[in-house]
Amino acid sequence: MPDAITILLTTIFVNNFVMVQFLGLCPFMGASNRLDSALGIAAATLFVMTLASSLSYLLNAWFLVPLEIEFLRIILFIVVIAAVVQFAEIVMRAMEPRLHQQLGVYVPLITTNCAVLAVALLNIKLATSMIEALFYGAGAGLGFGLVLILFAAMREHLEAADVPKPFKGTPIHMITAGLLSLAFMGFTGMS
Amino acid sequence: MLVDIISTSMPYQAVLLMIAMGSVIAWALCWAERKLPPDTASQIEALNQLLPQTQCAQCGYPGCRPYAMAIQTGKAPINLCPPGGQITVKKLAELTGQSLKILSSVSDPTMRAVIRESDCIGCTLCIEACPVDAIIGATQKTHTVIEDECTGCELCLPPCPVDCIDLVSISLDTTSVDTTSHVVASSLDKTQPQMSASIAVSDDCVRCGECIPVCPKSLTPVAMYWQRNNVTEMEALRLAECIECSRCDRVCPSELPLATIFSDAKGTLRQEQQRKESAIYSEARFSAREERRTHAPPVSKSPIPTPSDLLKIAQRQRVETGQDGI
Repeated sequence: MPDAITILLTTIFVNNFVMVQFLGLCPFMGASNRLDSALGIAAATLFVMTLASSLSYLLNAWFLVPLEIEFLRIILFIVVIAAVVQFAEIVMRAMEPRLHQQLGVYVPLITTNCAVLAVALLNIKLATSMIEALFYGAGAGLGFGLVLILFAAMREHLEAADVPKPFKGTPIHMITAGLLSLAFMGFTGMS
Repeated sequence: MLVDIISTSMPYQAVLLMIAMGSVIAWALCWAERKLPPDTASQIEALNQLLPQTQCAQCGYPGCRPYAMAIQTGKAPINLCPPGGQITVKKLAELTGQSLKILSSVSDPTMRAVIRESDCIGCTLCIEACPVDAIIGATQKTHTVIEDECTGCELCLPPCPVDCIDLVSISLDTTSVDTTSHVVASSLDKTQPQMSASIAVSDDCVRCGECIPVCPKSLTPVAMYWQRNNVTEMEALRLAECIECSRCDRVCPSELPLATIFSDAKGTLRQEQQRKESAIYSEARFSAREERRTHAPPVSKSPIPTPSDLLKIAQRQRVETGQDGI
């Protein structure tokens, strides 16, 4: 169990998928316009990552390795991720119709979030058990959510800030993301 | 040969696994879709789209969306919407899968509100109450009901302070009350010059309001159109500022000749103003003359002096001064 918690904390802070490994930058820039939609997308991504990483670990351990068809990994993992995203969308539509309406197109786009596939693929090398894989996925999802929410909050403040004209819009967002990344790089010293 | 290639380059396990995974996922998703409660928001939205959006509250709910929500949860039957009529009931039955019912309504669908114009005090309270904007009029002007628009919902009855609104059956009362003209029955109407009859305008303004955003002078062409037989009201709606650019003409779905109507109305308005000005001018002249007649002192009663009179005056003066030159 201590191992699992170490994995969780490491993936959230030290090996943060967005800020340290630079995965999932598209939704990071695209879905961080507003804090409430960032919260929604973070929750959906956490759900998808946790479920997809554990399912893909099981798929790999039970079918792909024994049958010696590891070359199908990417295709099958993508199918699993797409199915989990679809499931998440159905659940969200039934439970939280307003959130579903608000997030709209972003939920199916989680399928193409490269961080999700990266979690599934990296799991195979890093995790040794199903529990570890679960925590690895949850950690990745939490780290993604943390960074997304932080960045969305910063962007909301940037809207009101007096930014020099050449830096307005995307440039200042890129600079902010870089500074945030630097801050996360600082955690590397802890491991 | 072909079988050999397949068996060597494409392991059958892979194919089987793909098929198995696909079926399992498809089954799981279908199960989730069926098992979880259906999306209520889009159902309500679909029901709301079928309702006429008059927000008349005749169904007993505060508006069309609340009624749609009540239908969705099964609290309300589908036949409570009189403005929608039997057609709406049929559509709702198709959407919800319920059996078709006959429209039941608290109010008689053949009833229409009619304002007794002699009693109306022009308070505009009924205009605010009307859910379908079927009552037209302005403050201190007699209101009237557009019969075609009225749904007989009785919502205008309670606010009226003088109880001048009656509900009448349309089959009986259409002949006695002229509510088809869509004109504010103002007492001023009699004195207003009527629009030139050359423009044959049918009353097919659908009040879509398309003309409002396009007006470069931020006027309300639709309101001016509805007041087109009453230039005083049109003037209050800033008719004089209309530049007759005819942009409202171009967007009007009923292709009404709005700019021409406004141009005509401006002509009428100008005539009216000129007539008023000349009336004021002549009245001023008349009163000035009266003033002179009654108050000013009589200047001289004698007419212009003749030469002989002048001679007499001169002689008298000479006598008085004692200059007897002879």
